[in-house]
Amino acid sequence: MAVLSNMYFKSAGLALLAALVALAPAGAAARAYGPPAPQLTRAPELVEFVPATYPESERAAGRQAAVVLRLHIDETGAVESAEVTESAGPAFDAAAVAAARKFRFSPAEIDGKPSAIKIAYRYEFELASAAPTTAAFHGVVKRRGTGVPVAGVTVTVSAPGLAAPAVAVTDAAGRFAFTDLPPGTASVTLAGERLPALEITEELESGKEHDLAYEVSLVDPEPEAPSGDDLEIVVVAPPLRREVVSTAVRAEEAGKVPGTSGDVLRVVESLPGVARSAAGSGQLIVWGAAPQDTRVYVDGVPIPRLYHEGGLRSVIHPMLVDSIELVPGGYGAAFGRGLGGMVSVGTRTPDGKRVRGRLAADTLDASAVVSVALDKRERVRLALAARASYLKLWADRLLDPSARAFLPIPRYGDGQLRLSIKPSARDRIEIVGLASGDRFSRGIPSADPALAVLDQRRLDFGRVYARWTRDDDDGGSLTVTPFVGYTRARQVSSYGDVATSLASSSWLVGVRANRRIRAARWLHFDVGLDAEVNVTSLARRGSLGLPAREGDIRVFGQPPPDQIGGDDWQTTTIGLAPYAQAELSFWSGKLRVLPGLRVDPYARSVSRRNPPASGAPAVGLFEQDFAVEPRFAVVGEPHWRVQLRGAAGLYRQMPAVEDLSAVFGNPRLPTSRALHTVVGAAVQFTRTLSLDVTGFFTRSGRLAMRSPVDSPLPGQALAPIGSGRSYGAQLLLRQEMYKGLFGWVAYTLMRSERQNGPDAPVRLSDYDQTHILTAVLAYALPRGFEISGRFRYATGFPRTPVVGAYHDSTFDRFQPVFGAHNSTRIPAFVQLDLRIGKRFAIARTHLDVFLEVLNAWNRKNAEEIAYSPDFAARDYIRGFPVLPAFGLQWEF
Amino acid sequence: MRHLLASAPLLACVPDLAVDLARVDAPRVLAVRAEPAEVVPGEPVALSALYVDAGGTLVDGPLEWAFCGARRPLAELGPVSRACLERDGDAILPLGTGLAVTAPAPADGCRLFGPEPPPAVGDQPAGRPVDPDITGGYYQPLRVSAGDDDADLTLFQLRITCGLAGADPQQSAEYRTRARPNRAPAVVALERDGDALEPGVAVTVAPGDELPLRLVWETCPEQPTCGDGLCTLDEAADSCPGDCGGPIGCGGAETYLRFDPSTLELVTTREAIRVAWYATGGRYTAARTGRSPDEPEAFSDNTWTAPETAGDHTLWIVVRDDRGAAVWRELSVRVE
Repeated sequence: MAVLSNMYFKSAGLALLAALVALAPAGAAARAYGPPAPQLTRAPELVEFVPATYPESERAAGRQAAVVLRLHIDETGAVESAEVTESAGPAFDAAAVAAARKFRFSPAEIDGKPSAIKIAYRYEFELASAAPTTAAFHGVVKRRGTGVPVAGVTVTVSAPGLAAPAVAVTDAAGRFAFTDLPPGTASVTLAGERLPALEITEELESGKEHDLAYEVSLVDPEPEAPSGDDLEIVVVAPPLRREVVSTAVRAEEAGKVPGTSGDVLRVVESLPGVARSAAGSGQLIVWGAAPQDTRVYVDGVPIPRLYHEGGLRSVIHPMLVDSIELVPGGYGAAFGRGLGGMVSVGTRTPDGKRVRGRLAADTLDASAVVSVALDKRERVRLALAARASYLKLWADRLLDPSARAFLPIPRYGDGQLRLSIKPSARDRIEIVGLASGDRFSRGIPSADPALAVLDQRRLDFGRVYARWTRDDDDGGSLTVTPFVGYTRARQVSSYGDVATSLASSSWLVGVRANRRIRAARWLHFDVGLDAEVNVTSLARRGSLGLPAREGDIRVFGQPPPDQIGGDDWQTTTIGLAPYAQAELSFWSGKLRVLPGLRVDPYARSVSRRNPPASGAPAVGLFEQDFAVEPRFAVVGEPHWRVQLRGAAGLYRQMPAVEDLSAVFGNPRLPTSRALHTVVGAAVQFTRTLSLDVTGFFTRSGRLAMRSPVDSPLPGQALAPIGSGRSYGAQLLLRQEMYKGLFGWVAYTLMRSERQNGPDAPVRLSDYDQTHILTAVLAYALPRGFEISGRFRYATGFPRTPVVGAYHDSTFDRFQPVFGAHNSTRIPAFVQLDLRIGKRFAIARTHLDVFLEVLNAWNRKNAEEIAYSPDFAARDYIRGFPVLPAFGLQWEF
Repeated sequence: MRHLLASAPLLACVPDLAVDLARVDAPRVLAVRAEPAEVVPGEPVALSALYVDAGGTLVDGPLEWAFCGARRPLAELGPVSRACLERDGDAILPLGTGLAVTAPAPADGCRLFGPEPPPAVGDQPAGRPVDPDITGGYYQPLRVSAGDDDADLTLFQLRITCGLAGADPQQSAEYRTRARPNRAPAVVALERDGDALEPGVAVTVAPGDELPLRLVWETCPEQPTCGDGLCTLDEAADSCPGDCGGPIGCGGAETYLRFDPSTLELVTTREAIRVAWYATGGRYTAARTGRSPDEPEAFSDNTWTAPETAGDHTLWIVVRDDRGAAVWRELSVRVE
C-alpha cells in the first residue's frame, strides 16, 4: 500500500478529514527493491453524502462531538467498512458509522487506475443554534434541454464570511446542499469533468432556505485531462460584466495565439473593434479613435501605455495579469476622461504554492517572475517580476544599417512588485509598484547634412498604489485605491538642421474609490470617486510641424516646416469626478438596467498663456469646467441563449498637456467631448459556441486641430474646431475551448471620419480601417503539443496622395503637391501567423517551448508609403517578411 | 556573417527609391540667386535663375517671376501657403519674364512673413507673427514658373531683413548694431587633383574615367578680426574702417547673430554650407555634399565618373548657405 497525503473535505457543516492512510501493505518493499511506489493520481471525492442522525440523548444533553473514522472504499467508490479511530462515545460512534457506510465516493485512482483506498474521515456533530444566523442553500443541477440530473458536479461557495470556500458535490439526483452559509452575496461556482467552470452570484439570507435549480450544458469528455494550468483569466467574465460591449479571452488561450509570443495582453490586438496598427507603432486604435483617446488602466490606475515601444510586448508581465477588459465604447460611469475606448487590466499575485515562478526567454527579451508566500497561511504574498529586452543587441549586429534606419528596433524593460495581504476574510490589501522604460533611436545618415534624419524617443513611467477591498456580509463592497506615479518622456526628431524636441515630466496623484451597496435583492448601487491631479513640466523646441498630428496633410519623410519656436510651461490639471451607477435587476436578472451619472468638474492651470518674450513676464491661466456625463445601459435576456443590449453615454477628455503651449498649442483648449451609442446582441449556440454582434456610433467634438487661418491670434496655434464620427458594426464568432480546440473570427466593418473645422469637408480619419478581420484557431494535440494559427486582414490606413512636386530652390528640397485629403490608402494588410508549442513536464515543474512563424506565406505587406526625394517615385515600406520567433519558459 | 545577413529577406522591408538628383535631362531651374542675398523690404533686389537642360545652360527661357503675398496657415505644413502654388490669384504679384528680373521686395514683407504682427481684424488683437527659421530668418515667397505643370514650378524664399520677435528693446538694439546681412557664398576655386580649373575652359576625361573635383569657397573667421579684410559680425565702418570699406560679410560659412526663441537670447551661429552637384551625363559619387556648422573645412569633394561613350557634358555645382543664398559654377567636360 502506498501512502497518501493529507486531504481535507468539508461538506454540509460537517468536517471531513482524510489523512495519511495506507493503501497497500507492500509500499516500503516496493520502494526498496521494485519499481517506483504507486502514486495517487486521483483522490476520491464524496459524491453522495448522507447526514447522520443526531443521537437524541446527546442532543438533549446539548453535547457536540467529533468522531474520526477510517473508511475502506472499494474501487467503485462504495464504502466497504468504517472503523472508529477516535471515539466520541457509543451513541455518536454508532450514528457516524451508520451514516458513513452509506456514503458514495468517486473512485480513487492509483497510477491512473481505479483502486481501493482507505481514508480518515472526521464527522462532526454540531447542534444548530436557536436563532438562525446562517442560510441554507441547496439545489439541483440538471442538464439543459433534457432536465436530466447531473451528478459529480462540484459546487463551490465563496462568501466573505467563509474562512475557506465551502464545497459540495452533486449526488446521483443532481442535488447538493449547504446548511450553514453566512448571509450575503456568495459566489457560486459549478464545475465538473464535462462542465467548464461557471460562476453565478447568489444572495443568501439568514434563516432562509434557498432552493435553486441550475441548468447546465455539458461538453463531451475531453481526450485528456486538463493540464492544470493556472486559470490566468484574461476576461471580461459574464458575472462581472457591467459593460455592454466587451470581449473576454482566457489567458490560457491568449498566450497560444500566434504573434503574442505568450504575452497575454497582446491578444487585445486580435479582438474585434481594434484596428491593426502600423508595425512597430504599438498604438491601440479602437473604433477609429486616436490612440491617445483610449485610456489604459491597471487596477483602476491610469498608465500611459499598454505596450512597449514598437508594440512588441506589454508593460506588465503576463503572469501577474489576472484580467483584461477591452471596452471599445459605451462604458459605465466609473470611468471617463477619454473619448475612445478603455482597457482595464487587473493584476494578481500568483499563488498555489509557497514559491512559484517563471523564467522565460525568447527572440525579444528575457523575463523572470517569482511569487513567495511570506507566512504559512499564505495571507501575505509577494510577487516580483522583471523583464529586459535584448532585441536591439542582436539586431544591431545582424541587420544592415539601411534596414535599421527604417525599422524601429526598441529597447525596453519593466518591473513589477506586488504585495498582497489578507488581514481578514473580508479584507484584501494589495500594494503594487510598476515601472517601465523604453528607448528608441534610429537615424538615416547622409553626406549631405541637410538630409540627415534622426528620431529618438524615450518614455519612463512608474506607478505605486495600494488597493484596499472590503467585502460586506450583505453583498456590498468597498474599494479604495490611492496612487502616485511619474512619467518622463522625451522625443527628439531632426530633419537636417531642423530639430524638434519635446520633453515632459509629470507627477500623478489620485485616488479611486468605489462603494458597492446592495439596497435590495434587485438593486445595487455603485458610488465612487475618480480623482486625479497631474502636474507636468514641459519643454519644447523646434519645428511647429512636428510631431505630426491627426489631420496633418503630409507624407512620410517630408521635411517639416522650417519655422521654429520654443516654450517651457507647466500645467496642473485636477479632475475630481464623483459618480453613481445603479444596477436594477428584474425577472431574475433577465433584464438589467444600469443608469449612471458622472459629474466631472475639471480645473487646470497653465503657467503661461502668452508666448515667451524677453522682459515680458509669463501670464498664467486658470480655467475650470464642469461636465455632467450621463451613462445608460440595458441588458436583456429574452431567452437563455440570447442577450440583447444597448448603451449610451457622454464622455469628456481633457486636452493633452502637450497641446497647452502658448507657442505650439493653445492654453485655452477646452475639453473634447463625445457621445457613444451602442447596440448589440449575442447568441449562445452551444455551451462553447457563440456569436456576438455589436453596432456602434460615436460622435466627437471640440477636437484640437491646427489653426487653419493665416493669422491666428497669439497662443492659438491649435483650435478646438475639429469633429468626428465613427460608426460601424463588429462581429465575434467564437468557439471556446472544446476538445482542445478554440478560436474566433472577429470582424469589424467601420468608418471613421473627421472634419478639420465646421466649414471643412468631411474626410476619413487617419485611423480609419474599413475592414478588420482576425481569425484565430488553436488545437491541443496529444503529448503536450499544441498548434495554432492566426489570419489577419485589415484595410490600409488612409493617406493623402502626392500628385506633383515642386523644387524649393532656397533650401534645395522638393516639396510635394497633395491631392484630396486622405483619399488613398496603404494597401491592405494580409498575414498568416503559425505557432507550435510543446510542454515538457519536469518533476513538478514544466517547460514550455514554442516556435512562431510570423507572416508564414511571406507576403510583402505595405506599412507606409515612401517617396523618392523628388517625389517622382514611390514605393512601400514593407513589414517583416516571414519571421520565425522562438521562445521557452520554465515554470515552477 | 553580417554581410551575408545583409542580403537576407529583412532588406525587403526597405524600399529602393534612390533617384539621381544630379542628372539633368530636361529643362529645369537649378538655383535662384538674389543680389543682395538678404534684402530690406521695399528695396530693390536682382533675381536670376540657373536654367538648364540636357544641352547645357540656357541663355533664354520663359520663366515667369512673381512674389506671393499669402501667409501660410499653421495647418499647412509646406514651406509656403498653397495659394503661392497657384499660377494666378490675389496673392500673386507678377514681376516679369526672363532669366533675371529686378524688382523691389514687397514693403510689407516683415508684416506678412516676419516678426511684425499682422494687422488686427475688427476688435480682435493683432495676430500671431510668423516664427523665424532655425537661422533666425524670415522669407518672402517668390515663385518662378517655367510652365504649367507642378514640376515646372520653382519656389524661392527671399531672405528679408526684419527685426526680432520676442526680444526686448535692448536686445533689438544690440542686434541692429552687431548683425550683418547675409552674403552669398563665393566660389574660390574648382580644383581637379589640386589644380584650379579655369572658368570657361573645358576639361577632357576619358570614357568611364573618374574626375575628382574639389569646390573651394571662402574661409570665414569664426571670430571677427579687424584687419582681416572681411567685414563680419560686430565689425562696422567706424570701428574697423579697413575691413568695412567694401562689401559686408564673407563668402563662406559665416558666423552670424540670431535670436533664439527658446532661450530668448542673442546667440552666434555658424552657417552650414551645402553643395549640389549636377551633370548632363555621367554620375557623381554623391549628388549632395556639404559642411555642417561644426566642420571648419571650406571645401567639399566629389568625384564625377564619365559615361562610357564620348560626348560633351556640362557640370554645375551650386553652393548654398543655410540662410538661403546661392552661387554656382559651371564646368564643361569633353569625354573622349
